[in-house]
Amino acid sequence: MPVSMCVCRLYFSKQSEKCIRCYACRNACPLCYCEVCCVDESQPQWFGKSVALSDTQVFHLMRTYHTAGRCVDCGACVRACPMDIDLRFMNKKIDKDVRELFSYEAGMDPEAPLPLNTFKTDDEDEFIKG
Amino acid sequence: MNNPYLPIKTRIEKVIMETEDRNIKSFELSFINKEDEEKFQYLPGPFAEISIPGKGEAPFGIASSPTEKGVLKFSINRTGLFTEAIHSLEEGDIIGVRGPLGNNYPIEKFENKNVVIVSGGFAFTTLRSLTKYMIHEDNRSRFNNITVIYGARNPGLLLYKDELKEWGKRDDIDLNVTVDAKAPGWDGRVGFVPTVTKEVAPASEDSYVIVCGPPIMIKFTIPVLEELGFPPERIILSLEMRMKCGIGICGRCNIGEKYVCKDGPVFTLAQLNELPGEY
Amino acid sequence: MKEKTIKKNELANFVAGLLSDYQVFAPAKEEESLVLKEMQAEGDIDLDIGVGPVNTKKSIKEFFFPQKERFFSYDLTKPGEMEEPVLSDKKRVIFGVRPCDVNSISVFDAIFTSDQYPDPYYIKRRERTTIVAIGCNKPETTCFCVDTGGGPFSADGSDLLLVDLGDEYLVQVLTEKGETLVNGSSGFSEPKSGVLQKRDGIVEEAQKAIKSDIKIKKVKGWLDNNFDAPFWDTVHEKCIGCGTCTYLCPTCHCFDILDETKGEKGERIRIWDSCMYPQFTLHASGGNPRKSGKERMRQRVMHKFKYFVDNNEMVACTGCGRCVKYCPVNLDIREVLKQIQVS
Ligand SMILES: Cc1cc2nc3c(=O)[nH]c(=O)nc-3n(C[C@H](O)[C@H](O)[C@H](O)COP(=O)(O)OP(=O)(O)OC[C@H]3O[C@@H](n4cnc5c(N)ncnc54)[C@H](O)[C@@H]3O)c2cc1C
Ligand code: SF4
Ligand code: SF4
Ligand code: SF4
Ligand code: SF4
Ligand code: SF4
Ligand code: FES
Repeated sequence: MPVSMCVCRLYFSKQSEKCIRCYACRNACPLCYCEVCCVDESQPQWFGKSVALSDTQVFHLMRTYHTAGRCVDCGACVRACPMDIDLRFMNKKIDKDVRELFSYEAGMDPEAPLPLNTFKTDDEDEFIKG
Repeated sequence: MNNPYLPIKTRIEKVIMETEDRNIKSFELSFINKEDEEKFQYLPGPFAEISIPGKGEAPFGIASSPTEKGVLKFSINRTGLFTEAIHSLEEGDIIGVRGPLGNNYPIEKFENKNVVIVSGGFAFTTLRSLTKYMIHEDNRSRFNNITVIYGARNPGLLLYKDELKEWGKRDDIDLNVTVDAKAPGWDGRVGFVPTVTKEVAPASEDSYVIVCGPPIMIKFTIPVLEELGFPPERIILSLEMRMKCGIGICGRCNIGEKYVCKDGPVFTLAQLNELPGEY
Repeated sequence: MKEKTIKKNELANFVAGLLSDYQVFAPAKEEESLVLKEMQAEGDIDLDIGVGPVNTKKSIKEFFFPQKERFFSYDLTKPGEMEEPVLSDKKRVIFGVRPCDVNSISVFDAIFTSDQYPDPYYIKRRERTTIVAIGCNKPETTCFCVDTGGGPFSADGSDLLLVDLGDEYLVQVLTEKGETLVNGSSGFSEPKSGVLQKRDGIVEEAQKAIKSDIKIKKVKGWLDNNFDAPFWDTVHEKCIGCGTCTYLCPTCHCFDILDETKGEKGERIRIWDSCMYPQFTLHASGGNPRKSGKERMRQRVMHKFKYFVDNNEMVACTGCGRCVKYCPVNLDIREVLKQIQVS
C-alpha cells in the first residue's frame, strides 16, 4: 500500500472517530434533498446507527459519494459540524478525480450532465454491464 | 437488581390466523421459567415489548386475561418489518417478552357499575382481556351490566370469532358486534361503532365506558358519549404512541408531562383534556 | 463540609497517586477543544485546567450514558440465548469537571435511578466514579448556569470541588468518596485564615460575570399556559433539526433501542436519540404527533423547562451553554427563554 494511502486512512479514521452522528452536516448541506436519508432508512437498513467506527466511516463515505458531482465545496457542513471534523477532506478528493476524469466542475454549468448520475446504456466501458 | 431491558423467554404454543385478509394473527405464549411467570402479574390494560433478536422490539397490548393462567396472548397486525417477522414465526419458536408495561384499566372503579366497552378494528386486544376478566366466574358479580360494542370493516376482519359466538350465547353480557356495510352471509348488525353505541349504550349514570380503536372511530365516538351524558372522568381511553423503552425514560412517547408508556396507556378523557393535544 | 487546600504544584502529585487505584480522566486539549482523556502515565495530561476553553466539548454524560450501550449479544442460530456484557467495576476519578456538568447528574439520577426501573448500566457506572469538579473563575460568554439553579461554583453532584485561588486550590470535600481521595494523599492542608474570604470574592465575581438574567420560574409560568401560542410558529424557523443541541447537552438522555446484526451474530443496543429528529416519534402507521420543526422545538423547550420540572422539580438544563455555542444556526436557547420571559 502506498504510504500516502496509509496516511489518508489514518486521517480519515481520526476524523470519523470524532463524529457523534448528529447529522448537522447533512442537514446544513444545500445539496442534501432526499426525503428519507439513507441513514434513516429502516427497510432495508443500510448501515448501523451507532458510533462504531465502521458505521461512522460508512456514513461519511456514503455522504461523500452521494454528494459527489453536486458538492460545490461551499463548506456549510464544516461550519455546521460541532466536532470540528474536516468534512471537505474526502469531497475535495472526489472533486479532483471528477475534474480529472470528466473535466467537470460542480456548479459551473447548470446544463452539463452530472458525471456520476448520467449513464448511457450503449456505453462502451465495461462498468455499465452489471 | 432487575434489568428492565432484558426480555424473558417464552415459547409460542399456538398461532391463530384471526382475519380473512391474513393480516392479523394471535400468538399464545407460555413462560419457559416458572419464576418469570410468577413475576409477570398484571390486570387487563398493559402492554409488553415483544423481542426478536435481529429484528428488535415492538410494543403490543396484552390480549390475554390474568384469569387465563400461564398463557400470554397477543394479536398482531402485520404492518412492517417487525410485525412481518413475528408473523413468520411458528409454534414452538422461542420469543422474548418484556413487561408487563404501563397501567391497567381502573377496574376497582368499575365495581358495582355498568361497564360499556366500545372498540373497533384490531384495537380490541386489551379489551378482550378486560371482557374476559370481568365475565370470569370469580369476577362477574363485582360488576353490573356489561355491554360490549365491537365493530370491524367487514365480518372477515373480526377478531376472536369463536369467542364472540360464545359470549353471544351468555345472558350476563350484552354483546353487539357490528360491521360497516352489509356483507354476504352476515346476519348481524350493520352500522358504524358510534351509531351503534348511541343505540345500545345504557344510561350514563352509574356507568363507565372504555373506548379503544382507530383515531377516527374515537373522534366520532366521544361526542356520542358526551351526548349520552358520560362525564369525562368516566370515559376511559387507551392510547398508542411510538415507543421504545416502555418504562418512561427513552423520551419519545410523552403527551405533555405524561409518558404514555408509563403513566398510560390508559387515561380518562378528563386526564387527556388537561394535556396538550399532541397525539 | 470539610475544606482543605492544596498547592498547585502538589496537584500533579496528588493525581499521580490516584493512578494505582483508579482510572483517571482529565480534560486535555485536542486540536482546539477540550476532551476528557484517560491519563496513561503520570504527567501525560497537563493539569493546569484553568487555562484555555472552560468546558469540554462533549459533556460528562457519556461516562454514565455512553452513546452506545450493549444490552446483550445474540446468535441467531441459538434462539433464546443472550450473552450479557460484563461491566467494568474498576474505580475511576474524573478530574476537572465543570459545575454545570456535575449538576447534570441530578437530572440523570432522576431518570435512571427510579425505584421502579433502576438502570443497571447507569448505576454501575455511577458507583465506580468519583468526581473532582473545578469551579469557573472566568465563565464564558455562553454560560448561564446561574439562571438555571447552579452557578460557577455549584458543587451539587461532585465529590470534591476545587476553587482556583491563584497559587493554591481550595478543596471542598463533599462526600465520603471525596474524603477517601483526600485522605489518601499528604498534599492537603487546613485552609489558612483569609482563604475562605478570598474564595467568596472569586465566587461573587464569577457569578456577576454571567449576565443573561433569565427568570426560570417566569418561563415555566408562561410555558404552563402557552402550548398553543403563536410564538411556536416562528421560533423554530432557522433550526435545521440536527441533534447537536441535544447530543452535546449534559442533561439530554433520550435514546433508541435497536438490534444490529452482522451475519449470524448481533447485539441489542441502546444509542442516543433526539427529539429534534422526525423519526423519533414517527408511528409505524406513518402518523407523527411531532411532524414539523415547530412541534419538535416546542418539545425541546417544554421538556427542559416545564415537563421535567413538573415531574422532577428541577429544570433539565444546567446552563452550560453548549447548545448555544455549537448550534450551527446560532439558535440561542437564552434568546428563546428571554422572549418567553417578556411574553
Ligand atoms: C401501547 C401499544 C400497544 C399496541 N398494541 C398492538 C397490538 O395489540 N397489536 C398490534 O398489531 N399492534 C399494536 N401496537 C402497534 C405496534 O407496536 C406497531 O404496529 C409495530 O411497532 C409496528 O412495527 P413494524 O416493525 O411492523 O413497523 P415498521 O414501521 O416496519 O417498524 C420497524 C421497527 O423499526 C422501528 N422503526 C421504524 N422506523 C424507524 C426509523 N426510521 N428509525 C428507527 N427505528 C424505526 C419500529 O419502531 C419498529 O421497531 C401497539 C402499539 C402501542 C404503542
Ligand atoms: S456534523 Fe460532524 S459530528 Fe455531526 S454527523 Fe456530521 S460529521 Fe458527524
Ligand atoms: S443545534 Fe440548532 S439547528 Fe441543530 S437542532 Fe438544535 S437548535 Fe436546531
Ligand atoms: S439545554 Fe443547552 S445550556 Fe442547557 S444544559 Fe443543555 S446544552 Fe447546556
Ligand atoms: S426530549 Fe429532547 S430535550 Fe428532552 S431530554 Fe430528550 S432529547 Fe433532550
Ligand atoms: S456554565 Fe457555569 S459551571 Fe458551566 S462552565 Fe460556564 S461558568 Fe462554569
Ligand atoms: S417508550 Fe420510552 S419513554 Fe415511553
